[in-house]
Amino acid sequence: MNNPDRISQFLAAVEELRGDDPAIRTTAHTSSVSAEGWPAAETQTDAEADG
Amino acid sequence: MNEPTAVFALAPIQRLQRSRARQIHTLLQPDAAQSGTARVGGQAGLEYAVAHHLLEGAEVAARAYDQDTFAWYTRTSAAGPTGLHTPTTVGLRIILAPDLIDLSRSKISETPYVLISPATTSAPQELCELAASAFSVAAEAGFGTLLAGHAAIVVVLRRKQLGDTLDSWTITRLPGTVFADHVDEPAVLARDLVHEAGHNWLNDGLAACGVKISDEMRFFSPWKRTIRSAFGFLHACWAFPLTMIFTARVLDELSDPVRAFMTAYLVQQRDLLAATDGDHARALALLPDDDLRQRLHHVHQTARDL
Repeated sequence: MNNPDRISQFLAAVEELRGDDPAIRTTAHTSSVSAEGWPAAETQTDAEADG
Repeated sequence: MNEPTAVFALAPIQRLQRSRARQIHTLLQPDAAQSGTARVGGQAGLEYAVAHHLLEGAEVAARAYDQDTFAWYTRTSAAGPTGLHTPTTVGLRIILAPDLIDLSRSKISETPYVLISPATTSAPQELCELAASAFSVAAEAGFGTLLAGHAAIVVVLRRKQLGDTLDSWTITRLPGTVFADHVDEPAVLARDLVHEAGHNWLNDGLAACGVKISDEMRFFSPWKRTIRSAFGFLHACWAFPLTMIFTARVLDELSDPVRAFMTAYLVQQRDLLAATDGDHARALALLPDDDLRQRLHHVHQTARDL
């Protein structure tokens, strides 16, 4: 059984683990190829946030 | 010769994955004895991906003081619940197909996502078989090493029709996990797994080699048709060429209408990639790691030569 100390210790350790690289990036890709001229509609994003 | 394999085998990435998985495992199970076995290939990739799910899930449970769920995360094995495993040519994979309404949104991602939890079940059999077939197609084309290490958990999103817009994505907090629509065609899903695993590979490669890319210079991306950071531009100039190389390698094995679809995709990508030549060389110059730079250049050039 976990106790509050165990959870607090875990959360502190998580902060420490992530401490050296807090950046969050997302790569999202949308592709579309149609039969009518095969237009491109590609998007790709990257974002950074605290975390 | 399945030449792409050599591009993806990068020792610092393998060390990073083992080290990171071990760190997370120690954090979750501080009293457990560490296995001295050096995981390799698909198993290492699976444990790396699962570790990040367990870490995120345990953190959510811990912040909610949900002790039962937290306890589940701290006792789940490194490769995840065995009931979730699907055997494939690149090793055990976890294939999920959650209801879209159950996808989470939080500050860890701009896109929706799902974490392995006590309630998680495997995707239906037909989707597991589709994914397994996609892994086989990709491996046969020389992308087995890439997918073994960087597409261990596949979250199948929506069933689309050939020609529909397909969405797929990855997030850095869940390396080794790929979210993707599908059209019930292994080769098309394999193409998108290659693309997203490519993003995961590059994120790991940059981290493993300690590379930070300066965002001072920006470049026009023909895919997004906008000016992008060097990070985003280099990602696109890596992931799209990988899908071109994959597509060129599998075309002869395909039948219409998938063959016509993939042929059109390759034609489309050739034109887009051609617009990146000068900028790609300038963006690569921002990469201080010779090995990484050479690999990115090689893939870009190989796709340009198609």
